[in-house]
Amino acid sequence: MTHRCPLRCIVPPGLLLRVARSGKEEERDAALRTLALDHTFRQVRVERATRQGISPPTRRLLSGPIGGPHRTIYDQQESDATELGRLARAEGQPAVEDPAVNEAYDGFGDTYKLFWDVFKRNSIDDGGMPIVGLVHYSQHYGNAFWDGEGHMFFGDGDEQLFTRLTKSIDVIGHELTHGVTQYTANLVYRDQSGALNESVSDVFGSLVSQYAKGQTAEEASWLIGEDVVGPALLPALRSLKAPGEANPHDDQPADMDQFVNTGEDNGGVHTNSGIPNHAFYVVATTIGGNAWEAAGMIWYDAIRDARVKPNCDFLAFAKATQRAADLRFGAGGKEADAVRAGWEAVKLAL
Amino acid sequence: MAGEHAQLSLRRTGGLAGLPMVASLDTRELDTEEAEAISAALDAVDLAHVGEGPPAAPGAADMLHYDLEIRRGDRSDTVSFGERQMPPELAPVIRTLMRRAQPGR
Repeated sequence: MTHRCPLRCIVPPGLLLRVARSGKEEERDAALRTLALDHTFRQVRVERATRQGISPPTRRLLSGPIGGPHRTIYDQQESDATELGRLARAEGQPAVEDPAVNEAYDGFGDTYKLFWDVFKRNSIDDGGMPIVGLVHYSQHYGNAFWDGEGHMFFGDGDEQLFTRLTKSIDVIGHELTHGVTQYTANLVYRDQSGALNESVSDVFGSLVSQYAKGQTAEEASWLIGEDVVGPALLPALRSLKAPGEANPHDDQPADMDQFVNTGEDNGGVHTNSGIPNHAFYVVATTIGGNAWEAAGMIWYDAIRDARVKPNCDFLAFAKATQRAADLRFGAGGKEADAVRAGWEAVKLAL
Repeated sequence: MAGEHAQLSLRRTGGLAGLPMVASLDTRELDTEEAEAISAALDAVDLAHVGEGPPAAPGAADMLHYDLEIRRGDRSDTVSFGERQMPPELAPVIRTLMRRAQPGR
C-alpha cells in the first residue's frame, strides 16, 4: 500500500525551509527529507517541461537539494578560454586522480558546510545555486577569481606569488564568499565598499578554515593563503591579526590612521581591507571561543542588513555590525561590547 | 613594423594578492625566435581597440588588470585592459613579461 503524506503535498517550500533552518533536530531532519523529495518532484517537472520545449528557470533545473551542495569542477587544461572546459568531477562522484579537482570539490564542500551549518544559508544565493569551479586555468597563472557570473577560476601558480591555488581552503572560501556578497549586500568593488567586499571574503574564508579544523579564535592563525604563497609572499598573503605583517610586501593598514588613498586595484580594495579585517579579529578574540558562532553571525547579519547599501563605507558597515550584535545578543552584552572594541581598535568611531 | 625591435613595460595590478607586478623587456635581449614571436604578436594586435571589449561582470572580484607600454621606433602606445579584455594575440607577450615580473610597490 502506498503511504501518502499530506505534509509533502500542502506545506509550501518556504515554510519547510524555515523549519529546516530553525526547527528542533527531528523537525529539521524531516523538513530536509521532504525538501529533498520536493526538489526531486520539481526536477522531474522541469525536465518534462524541457522536453516539451518549455524554457524553465535555469537555476531550478540545476540547483541542488536543500542542505547539500551541487558542485561541478571543470578542467581548463591550461587554456585561457573562459568557457567551461572538460567536466572533471560532478556532485557525488568519487575522487579523481587530479588533486586540483579534488581540492576544489572538497573546499567548496567545506565552504558550503560552514554557510549551511552555521548560518543556514543554502549555497551562494541561498537558493541552492550550483557551485562551479574551473581549475588549471591558463598557464603560469598565479591567481584565483570570482567572475560575477557563477564561476570560480583557479590557476596552478606562477612559482613566485602563488603555487596551486586550490590547495588553500581559505582561498576557496574567499572566492565563494565573493559570490555570497554579490547575492547579499552586493558591495561595489571600488574604494571602501570594495575593501569591505574583500574583507568579508577574508573573514569568511578564514572562518571556513577554522570551522573545518575545529579551531577556536585563540587557536586560529588568522592568516590567508599560508598554504599557497610562493617565495615572494612567504609566509602568508594576509593576516587579520596583524595587517601589514603577513609578508615583506604586505602594506595593509591596521587602522584608519593608515588608510591608503590610491586609484590602483579599484581604489586599494586589497589594501584597505586590512582595517575591517582587523576589526573582525578583535571582535572574535574579545568574545572568545569559536569565531563563527557570535562574531561570524554578527558579520553575516550585517551583510544581509537592508541598510547596508552597495556603496556602503566602513562606518555604515560598522554601525550595521553594532545593530546586529545588539539585536541578536542584546545591547550591553559582551558581544555588543566586543563589536565596539573591534572598531575602536581600528580607530573608527561609531 | 615587422623585424623592428620593441621595448615593453608592463604593470599588472589587482588579483587575489592585490600586489602590483612590474616588468620591462627589450626584444633585443631575447633570442631570435622569441623576439620574432613577440614582434609578430604586436603586428597582429589592433592596439587602437585594446580594452574595448566587455569588462568583467558586475560582482566580479580578484581579476587582474594590465597597463602595457609599447615602444617601437618612433611610435609609443599605452594600452590598458582587464584580463577578460586581453586580445588573444597579446597573451603570449604578457606571459613572457610576467615570467620576468617583480613586485612593484
